[in-house]
Amino acid sequence: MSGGDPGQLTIAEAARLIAAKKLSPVELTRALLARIERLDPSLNAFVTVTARQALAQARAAEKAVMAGKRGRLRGIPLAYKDIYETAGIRTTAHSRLLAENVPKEDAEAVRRLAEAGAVGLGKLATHEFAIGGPAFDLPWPPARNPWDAERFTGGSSSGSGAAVAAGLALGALGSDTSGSIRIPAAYCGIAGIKPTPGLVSRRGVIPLSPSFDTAGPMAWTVEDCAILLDALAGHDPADPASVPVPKESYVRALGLPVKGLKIGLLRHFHERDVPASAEMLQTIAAAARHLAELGCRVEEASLPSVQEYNAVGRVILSAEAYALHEANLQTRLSDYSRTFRVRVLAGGLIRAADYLAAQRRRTDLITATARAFTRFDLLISAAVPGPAPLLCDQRPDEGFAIPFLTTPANVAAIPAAVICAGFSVRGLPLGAQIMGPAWSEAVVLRLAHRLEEAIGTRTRRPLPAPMAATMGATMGARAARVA
Amino acid sequence: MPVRPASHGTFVTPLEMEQMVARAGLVLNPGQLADLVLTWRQVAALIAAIPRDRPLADDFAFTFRRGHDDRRPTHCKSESREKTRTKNGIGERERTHPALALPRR
Repeated sequence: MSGGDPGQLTIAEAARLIAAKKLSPVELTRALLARIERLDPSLNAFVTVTARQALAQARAAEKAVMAGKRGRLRGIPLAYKDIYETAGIRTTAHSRLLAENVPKEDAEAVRRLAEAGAVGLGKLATHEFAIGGPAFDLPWPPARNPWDAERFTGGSSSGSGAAVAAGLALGALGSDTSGSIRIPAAYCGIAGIKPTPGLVSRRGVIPLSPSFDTAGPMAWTVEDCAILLDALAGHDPADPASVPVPKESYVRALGLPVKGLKIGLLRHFHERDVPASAEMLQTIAAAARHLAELGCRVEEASLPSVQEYNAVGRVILSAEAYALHEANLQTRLSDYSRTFRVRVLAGGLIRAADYLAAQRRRTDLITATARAFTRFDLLISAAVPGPAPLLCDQRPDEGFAIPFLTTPANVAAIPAAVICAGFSVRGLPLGAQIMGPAWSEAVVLRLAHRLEEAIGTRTRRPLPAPMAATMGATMGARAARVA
Repeated sequence: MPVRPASHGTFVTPLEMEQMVARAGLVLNPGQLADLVLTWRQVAALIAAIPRDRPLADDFAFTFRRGHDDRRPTHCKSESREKTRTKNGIGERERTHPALALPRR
């Protein structure tokens, strides 16, 4: 292995080095395990580190590489949000209720990554059962943002965002019911994609709201997300929500042109519906200029308000989450965090008529969103209103008050990717969101990839002050990392 | 503390809230009840914001189908896929979610 910092390799870079036999999967895994040991006590990204299994998988991957087997994920260390079931490994959903839960089988997504040769480093922090916010009354502390450990990672794939941003894993699995891949991707300055429902199997993923739950990848670059999605996507006959769409290569699609694409700029999302900070507005405006320079036609677009999507999404989500947890809420209420209780208990009071009104309205919103895609190929907006807020400012009882810019894509059942589109004056990441019509992941990723390259944020890594001393010389020059 | 209701058109009093909680089979301490009252106010506002003016006849219907294959979006079938290819990879695709692509009654 090179003398550079393995935590700052992308999946694509590591795969090339492994294929060329210049990087040993075992050494890479060892280096990342050491990095986790050194840095994770400040970040709390991991709930469980599976060092022994990771090294066994890395040895198997190395053997396969030496035997001439290829594959972009062979020997690549990843980590999984702790709602993905893992055979023989504790899967807690970051909850006291599942503290001793050891599944017998892998979630289908985990199985596919393992089959592709990936190495599982462990299980990542989440908001309890993938809902709510940071909670301090659970057996494990909430994850912290690598760009500033006093700040929120976003959630609920909080550990996934933190681990990838800090270079503790080269990629991660997240899940997205209302923005849980895209919000932490935005706050942690990485890339992530919420696919069309049915593209990635949810079998073995602890559910929150079956109407909206989607499984998907998070990584440092869009290219890495495409590599992961290539392995993850595909019909799973054992998942009733899985859709048998033909296989396509998202990595290959990254090379196709973006010139001529019609991009709708959803200014009302971040200017009127959920007013974003001035620096976020400047970042999105700059992203639109980059798109124009890439040859895209950028025009203003409009959809129903973010509030409308959020009202529908939150009523459905609350009712469904309550229904899934009702038995435990009735008998083990105090085992849940206050944050979870606040977000979910109200779902038990929602009348069936109101739930169905929300479902009916959802079909209207799906149709309205689909109509926008008859005029535009893709839509772009801010992913979050500004940089990551302080952890201490997160209040459990504000759960329903603030609408998410990410929820429209869940309600409309469309794919949406987030990229790091810039930085605030404090050096915190600012995320942009790109949405496409159902099943357009290849085009969404292609534009996100080109925009990410054009903006050029991927050479800047987090270096939180408390960690600077311990990290020392490991934050070497990029050239040295890949040499 | 009165709580703005969902679609009932009346306030929910603390006593009514306690009754709703009991009907849901929950046992809450005063602090938990206070949290719920606050959250319910937010949820009730969301419920009230959902339009209900859609004609009944326009409601979706459940359709029982024989196989998975029927659920495939039109653009995913190999014959139509070739026809809809453009240089940007976007053509005249099926623009709706597969759930909506089901025939309506």
